[in-house]
Amino acid sequence: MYGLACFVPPDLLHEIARTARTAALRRSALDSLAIDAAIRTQRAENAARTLTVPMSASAGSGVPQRFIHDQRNGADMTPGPVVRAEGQPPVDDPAVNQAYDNFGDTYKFYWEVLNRDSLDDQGMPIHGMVHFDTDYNNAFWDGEGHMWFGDGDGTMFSDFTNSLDVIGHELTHGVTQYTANLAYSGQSGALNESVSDVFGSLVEQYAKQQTVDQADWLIGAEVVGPQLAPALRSMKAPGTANQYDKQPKDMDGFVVTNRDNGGVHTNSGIPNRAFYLTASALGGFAWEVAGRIWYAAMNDARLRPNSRFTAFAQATIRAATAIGGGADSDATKAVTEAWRTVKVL
Amino acid sequence: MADGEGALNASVVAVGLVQSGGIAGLDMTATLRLADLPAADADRTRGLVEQVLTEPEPPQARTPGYDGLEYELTVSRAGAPDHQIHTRDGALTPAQRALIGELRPHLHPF
Repeated sequence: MYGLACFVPPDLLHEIARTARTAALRRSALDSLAIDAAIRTQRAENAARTLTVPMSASAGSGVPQRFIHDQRNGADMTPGPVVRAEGQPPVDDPAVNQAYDNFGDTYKFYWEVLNRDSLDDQGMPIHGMVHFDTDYNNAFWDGEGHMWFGDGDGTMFSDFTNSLDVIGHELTHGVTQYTANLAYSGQSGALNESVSDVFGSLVEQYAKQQTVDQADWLIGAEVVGPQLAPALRSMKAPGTANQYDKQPKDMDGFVVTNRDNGGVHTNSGIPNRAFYLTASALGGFAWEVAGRIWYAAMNDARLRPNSRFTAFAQATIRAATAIGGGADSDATKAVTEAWRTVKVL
Repeated sequence: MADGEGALNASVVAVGLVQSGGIAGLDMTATLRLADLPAADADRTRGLVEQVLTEPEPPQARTPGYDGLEYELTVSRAGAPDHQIHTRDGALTPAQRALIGELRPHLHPF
């Protein structure tokens, strides 16, 4: 019966379902239609992705489209007035200018390093919503083109617009939506979080032109108060970023929990460290080889929204083989060894 | 039926909040015991709790969101089971938001 899904046209299956004399035959046709639809959807998703990293300039403009809105400390998620749009000069509010500038640096990284024209590679406008809520200790991406920034309470956190890697992290959630589309739960959610940390860190390293050895590999160092100092997370040494950091450094410490969408911000420490180890082994600028490998993995047609660590590791190995020059290349060896060290492989 | 929904009229003793997720992925908790609060604060908190418990079911979150905060509110009442409410950024009702705002300054990591 399952074979029919691939070879019998959908209109014929519809006709069988409509006119079949027995319930069993109708059910069979309907089952086949359901499978057929799933396969066609999967094909469409796969066709929209590509394993290769586009290395030549796309038809995009290379100019971001930034809009910064002032939420005036309201908790309503209706966009507030635009206080700075693309090309307009700085305003008196530092949060507005920091969001604008850090959006620019993130766009520049994706454009210059990965030839990606904004989050959707089609020049998508980016909206920053500053001064969201009162003393709100967070920043998040809403999945609809808006990044929301709290001011922080001044004790635990400060203004979230001040951190380039945090902004790179949030905007990368948008890139992931348009590439691997990793489901935000469990291991795929931890991968989603991890690639946001990876590219958030690379955005900062690229802006500062830092080598692997010069980078701090910390996330959120600019937004934490004394209680959470020195940072939210350490990609180099997960579990050591602050006194409450519970990130595992390898699969032996994998955390099972029903909070935080299944520990997406905790278990991301494992793939984070795999990236750091890869970049460290290759040396130089992390975005040049390791970053391109991870980006190609996000575009791998064999990756699924519910892919787990092992599938992502295999995608990075395929990408390293393609980008690095074969299975025996330094890149492939570095990637493979990194995933073995964190006990995913 | 949510936990303890059958005894909404019992006297509110305490309200607790566990906040998780967010870009920090930090688990934080706070508990307000009404008996420990000044009378005016206790009355305001009790009023917010009653609003949260009696308001209509909130609409679905407008977006799935990434790095949004998740909240577990626990209302403890005399002689009744605890009542738990799970919600998150993008899905908060005005009363839930106000009650979380009361608890937020008391949050501490655990």
